[in-house]
Amino acid sequence: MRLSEQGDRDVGAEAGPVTAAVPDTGQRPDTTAETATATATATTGATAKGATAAAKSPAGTRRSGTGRRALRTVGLPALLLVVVATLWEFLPGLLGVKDFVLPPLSKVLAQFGSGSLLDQLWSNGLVTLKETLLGLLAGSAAGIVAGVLLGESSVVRATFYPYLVAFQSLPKIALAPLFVIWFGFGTTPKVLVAATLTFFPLLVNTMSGVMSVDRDRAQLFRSLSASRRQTWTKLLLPSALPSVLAGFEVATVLALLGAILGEFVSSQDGLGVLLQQQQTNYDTAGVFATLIVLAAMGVVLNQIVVQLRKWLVFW
Amino acid sequence: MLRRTDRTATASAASAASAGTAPEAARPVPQPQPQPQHGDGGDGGGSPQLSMPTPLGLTARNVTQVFGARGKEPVVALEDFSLDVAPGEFVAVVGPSGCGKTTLLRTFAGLAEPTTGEVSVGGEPLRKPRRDVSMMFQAPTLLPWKTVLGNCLLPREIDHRVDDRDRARAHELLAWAGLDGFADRRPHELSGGMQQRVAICRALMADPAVLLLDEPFGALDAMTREQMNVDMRRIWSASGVTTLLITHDIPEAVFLAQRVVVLSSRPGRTLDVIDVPLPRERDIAVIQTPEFAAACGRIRSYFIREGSHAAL
Repeated sequence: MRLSEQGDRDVGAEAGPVTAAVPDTGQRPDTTAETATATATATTGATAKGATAAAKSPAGTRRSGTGRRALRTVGLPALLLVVVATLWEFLPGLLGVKDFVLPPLSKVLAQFGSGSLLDQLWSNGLVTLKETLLGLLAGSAAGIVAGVLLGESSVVRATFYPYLVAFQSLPKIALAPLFVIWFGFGTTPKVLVAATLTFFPLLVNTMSGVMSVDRDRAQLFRSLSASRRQTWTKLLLPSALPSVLAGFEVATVLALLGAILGEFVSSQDGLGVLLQQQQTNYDTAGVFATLIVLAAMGVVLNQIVVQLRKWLVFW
Repeated sequence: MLRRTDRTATASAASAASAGTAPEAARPVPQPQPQPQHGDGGDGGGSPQLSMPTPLGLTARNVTQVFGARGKEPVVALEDFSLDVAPGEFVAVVGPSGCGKTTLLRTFAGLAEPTTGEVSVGGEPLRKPRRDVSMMFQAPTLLPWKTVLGNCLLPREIDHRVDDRDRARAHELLAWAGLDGFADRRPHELSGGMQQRVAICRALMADPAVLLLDEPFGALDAMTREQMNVDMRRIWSASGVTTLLITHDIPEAVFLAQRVVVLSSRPGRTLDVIDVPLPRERDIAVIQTPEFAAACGRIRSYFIREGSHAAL
């Protein structure tokens, strides 16, 4: 048990610097590429370390268990990546699949060598990222405020909750045309779609976090004659923080989804638009290249939140 | 029967009690040397840093607590309960689980208004929680995001802006509890016993005139618990704070208190009030005396009659 815990910690330490580096590079053009490289380096490093440790294992040292663990958690996924990449590269050719259906991996990666596509990915990626972040921010802020209000007052909860559930049952993407009618073709409708998607996880998690505050702690604050405001700032909000951040983690992925969905409905730029252009041109390799960028964006955003959570909720 | 002694005698008793805490070093979690201040302060001073404001008495007059959810049979938690606790006295209330002990304590804390009857602190009827009445729970109930020092300072933080004097006082109390090296740690880094010590410090930080203890050591293992009992007794001796302890542990009640109130199972009614025939200064050796055993036996007999083995 002790050994396995150490193994986890080792892997965590390996992953740490990668995500820590992300906010620094956020402003520069080659963010995703750089991060991808960093991840690759970290992965290779860890694998090499794991392999070395595993090679030592016959000696029966204590480190060998840790090494085997690292080999499992980093080495196995890396192995899978190699297998899938190999299959992707050679299977389409062997099976006679046409390039516009499934281009081999090398052709997809070659897309990143073309300057014009890189420019497009960069400029459209920035648009999508901006929509995602604005939507995440607006939706989360609204969700947290609503969660606090609903958690604070049973009257507010009883009045609004049924309608909020009804709203949640509505497929939010169906609102996108309405947002376009109201706000035109700019950034706003996409931000709104992203915000409506992120609103609910934050609302529910904030509310449940506030309401599930430890009973004894609540009594402690009452016995100390704490004011309503003190109880909120010193007890309820910190108590709800783990739950709020868990909601935020879910919301990050949803915000990206919302931005792309918004762009699909109507837009001039953004990765969603780029995808549609590539689709029209049967540029399958380009579609895959865009998808890789989107996946990287999702992973990076998610990791930022995960690390933020680890940092803020240390207990 | 209980001879009130002067302050010096009390202080030396406190030192004796702390000498009895020597096995502290054997505990799994490394601890700083226990309470070096006792040596520094000299016998004349005793534990001056523990001195509290004038203790207040507690009174309950014919208190009945009935809880009823709508559509359900109302539950009588406490029936016609009366009790007088003199200023500076240590009283324990024992009873089986579910006899309304916690309700009683919550009533004295101003957290639950009595259905009928009246509760007063220092002669004033109690309407809402008072800042000079400190409560300790079964769980340490610390805030995990605050440091040990921050947790300690919570009562002051809620009362006013924390200043250097408050911080100095908190450090004093932590040192007194043998936690001076742990001020900047987080609660989860501490053992259960140490966490409960932090909770004691926090309770004392409010400069209480009354201390309410709700089975504060119930969640600890037997050895830590015994140690905490010795410490609690020392705190009471040194501070002179009026203390009301709720427990289902009979030896704990007899060791700590001057008077033990025996409650019946639900609805809680007073079965007996026992004056503990032990000297005011006690160390852990007192539990081997025949007087101690006799007092425990007398309390236990009520629960055997009641058929509530939970209380044994």
